[in-house]
Amino acid sequence: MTHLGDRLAALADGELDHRERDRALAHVAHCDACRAELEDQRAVKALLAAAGAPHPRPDTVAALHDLALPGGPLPPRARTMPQGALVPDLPHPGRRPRGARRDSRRPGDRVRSRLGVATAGAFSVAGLVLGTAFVAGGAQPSSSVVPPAAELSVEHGRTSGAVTVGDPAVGLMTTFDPAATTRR
Amino acid sequence: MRRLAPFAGAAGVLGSCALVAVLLVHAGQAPARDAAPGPGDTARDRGPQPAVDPAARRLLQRAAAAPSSVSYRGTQYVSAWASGRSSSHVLEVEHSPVRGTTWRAPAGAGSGGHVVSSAPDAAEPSLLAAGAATLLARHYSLVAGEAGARVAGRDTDVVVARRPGAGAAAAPVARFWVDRETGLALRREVYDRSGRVVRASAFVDLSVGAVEPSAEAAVPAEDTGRAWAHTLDDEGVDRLRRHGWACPWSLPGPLPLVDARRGGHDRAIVHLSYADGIASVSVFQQRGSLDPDRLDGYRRATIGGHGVWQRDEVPRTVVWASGGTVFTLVGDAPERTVDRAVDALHDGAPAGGGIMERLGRGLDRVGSWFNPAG
Repeated sequence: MTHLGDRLAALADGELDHRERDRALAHVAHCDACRAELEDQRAVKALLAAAGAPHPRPDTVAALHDLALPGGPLPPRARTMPQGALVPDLPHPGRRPRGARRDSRRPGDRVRSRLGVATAGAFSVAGLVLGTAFVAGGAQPSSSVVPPAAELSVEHGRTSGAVTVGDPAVGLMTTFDPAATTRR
Repeated sequence: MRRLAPFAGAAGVLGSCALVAVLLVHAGQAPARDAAPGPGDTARDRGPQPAVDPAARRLLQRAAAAPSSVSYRGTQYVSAWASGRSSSHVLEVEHSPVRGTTWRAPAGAGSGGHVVSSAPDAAEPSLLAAGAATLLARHYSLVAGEAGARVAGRDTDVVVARRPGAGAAAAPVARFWVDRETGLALRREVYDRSGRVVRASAFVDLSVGAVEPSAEAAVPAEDTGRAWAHTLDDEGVDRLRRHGWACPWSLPGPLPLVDARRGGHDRAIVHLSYADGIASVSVFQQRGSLDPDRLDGYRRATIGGHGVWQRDEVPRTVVWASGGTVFTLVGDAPERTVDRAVDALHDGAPAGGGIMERLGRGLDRVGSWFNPAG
């Protein structure tokens, strides 16, 4: 029994025409190995599709702004009062601003911590990509191949004529063989 | 979560370092182009340096450049001999520097009326900075000055290419008859090690000048006359190697890699060209397994202990599968050179089961999900 090989990816991607899809699905119906491989490929594709575009949380964006200004805090934000006037949201001397979390760490620790999170995130993405590639590259290609002899003969003749001195017709001789002509 | 962040960061950095180390080790396995001899490339292959007569080099450079400025029409024969078989054709040739060349088998021959075309820039070699004449001068000693016979009624100068060395080792490999007036190569003969002619082609009549395309030589509309357009440079070849394709920088002979490109449906076929200016070998590779039942005109054979399928034509075609890849070698080269090339590629073919090959295949496949046209 010949397994589906590379056609599994095409089946998962919906790239097969009706006839090929019917044949592939008929094979999957009674082949456990191909069915399992198909499930894996569909799962990976679903994972990639569900990931979508990244939407960072607002506090992550603010943290990244902090990273861009390591020398000090951000300028005070303006806050709208009930009357509509704008007043600066200045902290009281000796008190933490209302709503601020307790954080006794030094600014350098915070930067390193955020850098670590960013690095871990980047590595996670790389791991996801490599993991996906590892799974997708797992199946040894088993599709049946027949070299297109006539096309390869002409291709050889044309490149051969460019890299040898003399007669390009020699490299194209095979294409004038009667058997080759009838094979076209 | 915040307490875990430094550890996650450290793990990320360590993991990244490990990944970079793996990639660097893998990159280190790719042989550098200049330092890497091909499989089976021995010291004998790189033996005595060729002695090149400047006049001979100029004649061959003129012969290589002549088709870009001279139009002609004529009749030529092309013959080739190999062990126990031969092939011979008489072809009508039309050439124009603008339109390129067409060859047509005259009516009545077995392939009568069959037309093959080649555009003026049919295949610019992607890995060969200098021309074919320079490539030839790197591998063979060149001598000019032999009395030239008349070819198709025209005066010629003769250039002899010999194997580098002295005495019997320096036997002639090829002779070229170069037209004194136009520089066209009017006749070529290639010899085996015992001095027998194995390739011969010559014009039996030739008219030089403006050529109007004849109706008989009309090229089918789908024939571009060009080799596959997707060429690869050194970096592209390295990338292929990392993805598990067999891409030696040279084959025994030695035959250096002079051109690389991809083509066929979805560019699924890799084509590597090896040449020394006289002999040329094309190596085509496709992912998959070989189905011998669907091979037409091939017979089973053994080369270097490896089972192959080959077609008894000239140029010789050999097909085999190794490591999940189907190889097709088309060789316009001595039998022994083709045998050694097949043997070297068989031995040097990636097993196909390594982690980097698997990752390479996977990245190709994932890339195709996002860019089906690429």
